Amino acid sequence: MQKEVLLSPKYDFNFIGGDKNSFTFQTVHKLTYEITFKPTFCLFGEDSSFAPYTFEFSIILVDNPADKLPQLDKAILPTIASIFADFFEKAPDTIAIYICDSSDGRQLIRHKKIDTWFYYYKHIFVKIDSQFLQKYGTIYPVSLIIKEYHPFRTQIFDEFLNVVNGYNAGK
Amino acid sequence: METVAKKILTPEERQANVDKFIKRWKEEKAKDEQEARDRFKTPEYQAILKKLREKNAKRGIIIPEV
Repeated sequence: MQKEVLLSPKYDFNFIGGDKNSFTFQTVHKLTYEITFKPTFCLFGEDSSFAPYTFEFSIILVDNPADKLPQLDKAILPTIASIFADFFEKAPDTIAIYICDSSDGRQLIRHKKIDTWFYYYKHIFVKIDSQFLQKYGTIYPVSLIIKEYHPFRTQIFDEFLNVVNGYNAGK
Repeated sequence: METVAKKILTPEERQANVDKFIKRWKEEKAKDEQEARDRFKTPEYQAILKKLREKNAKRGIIIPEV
């Protein structure tokens, strides 16, 4: 199955760079996506020793000319997975945080998609999932992804869970 | 080694922290998305996309020009 995804068609992408480490690609349905790895202090705080290595991973639909819900496109997930692998190759100590947008109520679908592509790389990366629960009941799934053999794996997971559980005073 | 005792927050304080975090995250996300959409319109960005379409086309993936 892993071989299947690695061999499945994917789009060429380009590293744009910038302060958000952006990548871009276009699909046959004329959609343009940006994948970004934005340095973030939001989660661990500036004082954390993990802060310089922490990036928020985002998938931004930059242009959707038909203004319709994007169609199923089997090449998108392998493309995103390749971009992810490319970024980690450049910065292997990266701690990637992914928060699923809940504004349109599709956060659980997004989370499932991330799980799908992550499955193919589970021998390289390790992921931990949790969620933020907003006051009025909206759930925001949040995942942290690092290299499987990250030397501070246990400490990172502990700190992540502490923060997400809201024990991090003075944020 | 000095041990700093962490204050145990009340459920209300924890909820306030989470709500504050999500609010800030959503504001930043909206700003980032708008920046990306603005960047998309620039000639430099369009030139990158043109090159990508050419690269894809060489592999038989035809991406129509918008």
